[in-house]
Amino acid sequence: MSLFSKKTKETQSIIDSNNGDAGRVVRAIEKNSVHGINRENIEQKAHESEEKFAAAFNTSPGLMAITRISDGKILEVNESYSRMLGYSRDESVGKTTAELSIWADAADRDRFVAALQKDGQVLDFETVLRRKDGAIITVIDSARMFDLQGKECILSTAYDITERKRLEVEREQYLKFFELSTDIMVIADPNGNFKKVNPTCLQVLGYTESELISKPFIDFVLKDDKQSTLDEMVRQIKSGSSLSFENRYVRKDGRVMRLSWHANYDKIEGITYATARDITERKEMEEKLRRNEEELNEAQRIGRIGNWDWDIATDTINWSKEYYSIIGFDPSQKPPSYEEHLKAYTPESATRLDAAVKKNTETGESYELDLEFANPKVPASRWIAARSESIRDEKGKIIGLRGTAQDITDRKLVEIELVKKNRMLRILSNVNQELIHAADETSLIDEISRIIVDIGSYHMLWIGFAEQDEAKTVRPVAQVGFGTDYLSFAKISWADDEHGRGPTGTAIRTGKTQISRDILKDPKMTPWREAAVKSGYKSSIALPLSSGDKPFGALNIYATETDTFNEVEVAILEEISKDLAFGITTLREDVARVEGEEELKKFKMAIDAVTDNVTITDSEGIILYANKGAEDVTGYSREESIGKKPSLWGGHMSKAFYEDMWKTIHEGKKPFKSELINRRKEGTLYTAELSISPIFDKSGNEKYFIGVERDITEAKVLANDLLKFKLALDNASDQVIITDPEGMVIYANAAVEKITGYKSEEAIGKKSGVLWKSPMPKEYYQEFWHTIKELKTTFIGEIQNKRKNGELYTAMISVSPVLDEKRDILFFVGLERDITKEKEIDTAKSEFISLASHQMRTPLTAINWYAEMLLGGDAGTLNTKQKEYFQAIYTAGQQMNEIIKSFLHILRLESGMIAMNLVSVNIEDVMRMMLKESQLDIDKKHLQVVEHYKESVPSLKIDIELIRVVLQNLISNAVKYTPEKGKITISLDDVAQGEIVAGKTATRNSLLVSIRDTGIGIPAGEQSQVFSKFFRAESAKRWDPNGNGLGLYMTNKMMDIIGGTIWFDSEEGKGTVFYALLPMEEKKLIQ
Amino acid sequence: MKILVIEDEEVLAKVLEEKLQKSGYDVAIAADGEAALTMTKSFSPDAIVLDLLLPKKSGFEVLEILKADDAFKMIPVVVVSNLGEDSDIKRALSLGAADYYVKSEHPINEIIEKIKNVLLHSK
Repeated sequence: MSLFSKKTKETQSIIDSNNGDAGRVVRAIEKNSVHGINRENIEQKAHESEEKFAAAFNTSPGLMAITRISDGKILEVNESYSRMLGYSRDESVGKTTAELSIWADAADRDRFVAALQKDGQVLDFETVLRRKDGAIITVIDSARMFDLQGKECILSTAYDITERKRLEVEREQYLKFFELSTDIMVIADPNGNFKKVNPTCLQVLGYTESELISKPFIDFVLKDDKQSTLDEMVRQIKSGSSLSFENRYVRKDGRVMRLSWHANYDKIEGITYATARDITERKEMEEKLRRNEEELNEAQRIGRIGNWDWDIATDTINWSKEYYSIIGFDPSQKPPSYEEHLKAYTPESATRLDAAVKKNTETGESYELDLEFANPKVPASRWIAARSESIRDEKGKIIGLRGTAQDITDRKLVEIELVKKNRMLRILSNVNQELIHAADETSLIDEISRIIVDIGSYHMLWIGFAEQDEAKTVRPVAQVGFGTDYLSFAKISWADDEHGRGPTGTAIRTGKTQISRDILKDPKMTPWREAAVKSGYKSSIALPLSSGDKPFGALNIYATETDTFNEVEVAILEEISKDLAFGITTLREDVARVEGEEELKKFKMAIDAVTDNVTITDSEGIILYANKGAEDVTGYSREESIGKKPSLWGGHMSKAFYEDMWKTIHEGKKPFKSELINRRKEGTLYTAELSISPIFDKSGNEKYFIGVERDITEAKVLANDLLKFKLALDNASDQVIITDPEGMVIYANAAVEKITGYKSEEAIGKKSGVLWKSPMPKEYYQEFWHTIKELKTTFIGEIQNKRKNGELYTAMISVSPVLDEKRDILFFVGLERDITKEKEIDTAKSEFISLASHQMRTPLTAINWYAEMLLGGDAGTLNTKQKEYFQAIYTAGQQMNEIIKSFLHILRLESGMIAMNLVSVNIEDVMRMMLKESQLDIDKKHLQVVEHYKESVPSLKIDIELIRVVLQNLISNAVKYTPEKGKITISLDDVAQGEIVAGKTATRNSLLVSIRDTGIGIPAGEQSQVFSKFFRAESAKRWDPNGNGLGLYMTNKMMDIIGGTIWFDSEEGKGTVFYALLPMEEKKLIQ
Repeated sequence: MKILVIEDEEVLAKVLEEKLQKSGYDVAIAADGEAALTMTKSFSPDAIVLDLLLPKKSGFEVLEILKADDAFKMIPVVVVSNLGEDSDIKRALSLGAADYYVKSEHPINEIIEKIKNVLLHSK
């Protein structure tokens, strides 16, 4: 009976305020029980709501039960209770939960009740209940105590959360999968960003989760794979199907990972689920495997080796790629059966192979065979080296074969060729033998024909002579081999008609070998084709027999195969036919030979008339003949040399030279030509041009050697000298130019190009003036041409010329005319040295000296001037000591100034920087002036000066500065080193060329200056050093400690520049005389 | 009478200044080529003593500019320099220098006398 169906007041109240919430029901009941007013009204209302509540109680998705606390009995349950626990209402009402064993865990029940009693309610208590069928369900239980009709009851509600629980567990499990999977798992959002990634994904890609999440996955794909990946994605989204593909990702560390994806796009969620597997290593292995296979294939291809195996039971054959290629089968087809494949060989090879295969399958004996293919698909016949071995099962039974095949076509062809060649050489050798022994023409022809057919294994041979009849018949004179009646009907001619245009006729007409490679197809063979086929001829060759270059017949050979005559064979056959023709000719001309001897005599006389050394030796080198020239060149008489070897005068070259000589004439069978050195009988060496020619006998052996020597010793010496001169000129660093008398360049050396930029080819043939375009003044050229053309002497001067590029350069030139015996000009030789650089260096040097001197002089000036001012009282009066000291400073300053001046002079002199400024100078005037400068000292010492000037001494063209310094030095020395009251004698005289003065001979007309003093003199032991730099004689040092030893050194230098000479006579304690010889003519000086 | 001494070496300029002042001249010193030109305008000297190796403008340049200017070309210029090459002397004289003395080769008194002489003759 339903609790609600009783419609008690209490239950009505419950229903009245029921909202499906047990708590509120309780409150409503309490409320009602407290306020029991207006009962009727309430009853009415309660009745209405009871039904509602009952419906709610019953239809509630949650389990509901009301239990009495006192005895634990169930008072009411709803429909969800029955559904969840499997007990009907009737089975439950009046029973306790314990009786029904609803609590799966009794302890849970106790806790639950305890909590209820304590708080009056329990909320969301999770526990497990046992269904009637024993199944366990998980529920969330809530309960509240309330008073029902004065009895304490419990209203329990419970919700089944078993399913939710299960899902939760399942979710956990899936997540575990996700976490543990060794495959990459990825969820991507609709924008293609990583939404979720599993640890494997992180591990493979090497990024942290935060680095990947919300980032577009495409950013991590290898650049090359991006587009294809996106294309895949689009395709997948469109089709909605799951798909698999591979692409490459880039790991954080840059490594490229190859991933195999399986992805699924959820159209509704817009989310992609994808798993991937790292197949990087697998791919690498695959790649390696593929490469290995390729390499094996490649190795097979290179080695031309193929392999195969054959399973006997199934008759399955596997061929490697190369095997197909070697045999010439289509590799896209399956290999044919064994029987079928045998047909690829020539019948002979097939038979051998079949026997070997059978033996191998039966006995296990492997084979090695050379087999020839006759596959119609392969153009030429192919040869392979085939090897096999048997395949056995565990019990040792033969179940198949395997083997290799190597293409040996090339080797095989060479072998075949070699056999053929050997045969041909044997023919040649026998033919040569026959040529020597043959007594007459007929036997020669017969014998040779037989040799060729026998050894050469030819089918037929015939020899025909061209008849000089009207029909131009070819008359057979010999025939050997098969099909001899062929000729009876052949009607061969050598006329230019149908019967003469066959190989034989053509060979005789043209003198050239004719080959018919395939008689069946050769249109020229039409008249004879039928007969040829009948006789089994498939190819032929016709070789002309000629005397000189005139054919007189033909040698004809027929073979049973097409394409028989190859290059080597033809060459040897041609050789044979030549030998044969030679043999025939020789025999025919036997008579003529006698007449030939007469010719020889004439020939000998001619050779004797030759000035060259002509020697004939036998094959051993023994001299058989020597001409007159040989006697003249070598000095050995004919009697002396005949019977000896040419080593009589030869043998002075290197071993290698003679080895080369013998190699050329012996092995090369060629004439040897070279230059060599030999020795004459009297011992002198001579250079000769040598030529040795071997002369062969009929069998091709050397019979004689003819040596011709031409003496080229003199020519050689001349050529050598010329070469040396030319080399020297060519390599000279100065320009050398040779012109004709008109100034046209006929030779220019390499330096010309280096200096001017004109190549010698450019310069030759042009006028020198046109080439160089020198900007020198007209007068310069006038003097230039006057000197070399009219005076016919050498012109030396400095010149400015223009290079090809327009640049100016300074050069020293020296141009000399070369004259013949009549003093006519043959040509001019010009030497030119580019001194631009030297000039530049000189300028730089001079600037340096000038600057350096300035820098030294400035502080010196300060010292001198201040000392002077102090001494002069500018800073007040000095005491004696101060004066003395400042005087010392001042004097030292003055000395220093003198030293600097001297140094500068010397620097200028030594660097050749003194510019000669030639002016007309009267030496007497200069002398007086210099004396005047020293007058103060002369007076101080009371010296007597005597002057002897010769009257009307001519003026000199000389540099006045230089001569002043010279004279000043000499005078001041005389004054300085002469004691008080001494005497100085100065004289000036002119001296003619060749005149001897003071022990010296004047080389030119000169002026002589002499300055004699009665001074301290120069000790004899020190006289030789007087002109040395910094030298001071001991006596001079004692006399005056303040000297720098530069005066006479400078004087001497300056005299050099002037072109004069200075010397002296001196005696210690008595005095010295200095002589200066000044040249009257100006010296041509550049600097 | 005013003399402009163009000399970059202070020690030497000082000697020339003192000596010339003692001889009764008004002396001004210019230590480089450019100052020399400015001071020629502002000081209006009656004579110039000119060194040749100078900063900014060389003595040769100064000489050339002065001699090309109508206002100054009449002022006598005595070169007192330690450049002693013939070529230097020739160049200075050809540019219009009244006289040329190599400093280290002459006592200061001699140089002062020569300057006095030049002034005397230019009058």
